[in-house]
Amino acid sequence: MTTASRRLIVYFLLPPLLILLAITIYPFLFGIYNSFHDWVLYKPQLGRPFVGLKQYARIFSDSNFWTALGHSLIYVALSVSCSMFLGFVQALVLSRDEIKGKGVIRSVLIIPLVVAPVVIGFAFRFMYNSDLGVLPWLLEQIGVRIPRILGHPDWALFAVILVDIWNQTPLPFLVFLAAVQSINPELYEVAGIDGASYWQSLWHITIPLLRRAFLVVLLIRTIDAFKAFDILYVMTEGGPGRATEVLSVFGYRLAFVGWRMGTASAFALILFYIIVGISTFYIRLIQRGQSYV
Amino acid sequence: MSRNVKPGRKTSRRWRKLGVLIGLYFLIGLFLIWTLFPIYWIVLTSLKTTQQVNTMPPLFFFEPTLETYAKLFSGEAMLAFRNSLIISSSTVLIGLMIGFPAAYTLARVKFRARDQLNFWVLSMRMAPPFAFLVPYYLTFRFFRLLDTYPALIIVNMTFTLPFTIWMLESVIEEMPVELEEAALVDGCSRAGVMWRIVAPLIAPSIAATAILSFVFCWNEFFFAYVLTGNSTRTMPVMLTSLIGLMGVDWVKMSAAGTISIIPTIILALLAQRFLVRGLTMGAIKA
Repeated sequence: MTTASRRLIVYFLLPPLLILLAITIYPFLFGIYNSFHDWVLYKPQLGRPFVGLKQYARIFSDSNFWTALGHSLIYVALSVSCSMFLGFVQALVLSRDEIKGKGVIRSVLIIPLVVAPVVIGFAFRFMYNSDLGVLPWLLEQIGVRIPRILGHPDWALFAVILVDIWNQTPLPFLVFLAAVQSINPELYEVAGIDGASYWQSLWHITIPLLRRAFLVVLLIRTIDAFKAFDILYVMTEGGPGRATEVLSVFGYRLAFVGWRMGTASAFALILFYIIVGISTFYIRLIQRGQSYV
Repeated sequence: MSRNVKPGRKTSRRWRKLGVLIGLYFLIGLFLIWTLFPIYWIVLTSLKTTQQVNTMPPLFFFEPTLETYAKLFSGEAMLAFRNSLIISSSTVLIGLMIGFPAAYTLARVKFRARDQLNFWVLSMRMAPPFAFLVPYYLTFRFFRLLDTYPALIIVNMTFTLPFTIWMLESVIEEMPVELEEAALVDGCSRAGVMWRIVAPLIAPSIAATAILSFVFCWNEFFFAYVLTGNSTRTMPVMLTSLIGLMGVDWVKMSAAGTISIIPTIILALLAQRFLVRGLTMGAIKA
C-alpha cells in the first residue's frame, strides 16, 4: 500500500468509520452485557444482579415466545411469497413491448413502498372497520358478510399480512423488472423461431435467468418481514389477545410494557441471530450462483 | 408461436394478439386499483366532515372541505411536521458529511479489511431495530436525552449511515479514476479532489441518496415512538396520538396521514431511478 493511500485511510476513512462503529457496536456490546443481567426498570432497588444465562432460559421457556415465533414465521412466509409472486407478475406485464405508458404505470406501482407504514396501517384499519369501513361494505354488496376482521383471532393476522404485502410488493416488482429488462431479447427471438410458446420461454429462459434476482429479493424481503413492527402495531398492537403478536411486538412488550431490560436484551440478540442465520444461508446461495450466472 | 403461419390463420392470430392486449391492460387496471385505492381512500376521507365519515354506505361523492387541514395546521400537526423535518434533514446532512469521505476511500483504496467493512455495512441491515433500541433507550435515559432531537438523530444514523456509504461507494466505483489522477498530478489535494471533482460529478447520486435517506427517516416509527416525547414527536408518532378512548378520529387521521405521505411520494418519484440500488443495499454485490 502506498503512503498516499494510507494517509487517505487515516484522514478520510478512520473518523467516519469510528463513528459508524461507535453507534453500531456500542449498543451491541451494551446489549450483550445487559442480557446476562437482571434489570427491571420499575424496581431500581433490586439493582442489576448478574444472572448468567437465566434470561435466555426465561425466553425459551416462555410459551408466548414460541407463539410469537410461529406468528412471525407465518407472517414472513406469506408476506414474502405473495409479494414476490405479485411483483413478478407485475414485472412480466410491464416488460411487454405492447404496453404503452410504462413509465407512468411503473411510477404509480412503486408508491406503496415510500408511504409511511404507520399511515398505511391506519388507512387499512379504517377501511377494515366493520361499522364505517369501505371494505366490509364492498364485500356486502357482492353478498359476502365478514366478521370484525381485526378483532377476530383467526383473521386478524392475515388481514395485517395483506397490508404488508400491499406495502412491500414494489420491491420485488422493481428488482424483477430490472432483471427481466436486462435479458438479451435475442434469446426470445431464437426461442420463438424454434417454436417455443410464451410460457415455454418464460419457464426455460426468463425464470432461470432470474435466479439471482429471486434470491436477492428473497433475502431482503425475509429480513424486512422479520423486522416488521409498524403496520402491525398500529393496526392491532398484537391483539386481539396475542393473536397477531409477532417477534418484534413480543420484544416491544418485554421492554416497554414489562420494563424487563435484561430479558429484552437477551431477546434482541436471539432475534438478531435468527435473522443472521437465515440471511447467511441465502447469501451462500447467492454467492454459489455467481460463478455461472 | 410459429413464424411460418399459414395464410388462413393470420386473422385468428390478430384476434389472439388483441385478446392478449386486453388481458394485459385488464391486469394493469387491477394493479393500479390495488395500489391506488387505499391512498385514494385516505385522501378522500380527509376531505370529509366527521358527519360524512359516519354515514353508511360510505360517501364517494360529496362537497369536499379543507377544514380538517386548517385545524391540523394550527394545532398538533404543525409541531410534528417541524420535528420530522428537523430530525430527518439533520440525519441526512450529518450522514452525508460522514458517509461521503468514507465511501470515497472505500471505493478508491484497496486494502485487506475492505471486504469485512462492506460486510459490516450489509449486516447492519440485518440487525433488527429492536436490538439497537433497548441499549439506546437505556443510554439516553441515563444521560437524560430522551425527548431530544440528538437522541433520534443518532439512532436514525444507525441505518442511514450504512445506507449512504453503500450507495455512494457503488457510484464512485463506477467512475473512471483518470480525472482524479490528473487533478492529483496538477497538485490538487485529496480533499480537493473529493469535494471539488468527485462530489459535483456524482451530484445526482448524492441527491438521490439524500432523498432516500430522508424518506426512510421521515417514515421511521419504531425508534421515534419510544425515544421521542411531547415536544419532539414526529409525524408517525403524532398519528398514533389520535387514537382516543372513544375510538379514532378518522378524519383527522386521514388528513394528517395525507400530509405526511405527500412529501415522500414526490421525493421518491424524483429519486426512483436509484430505488433498486438503494433498496437492495449490499445484497446485489454480496
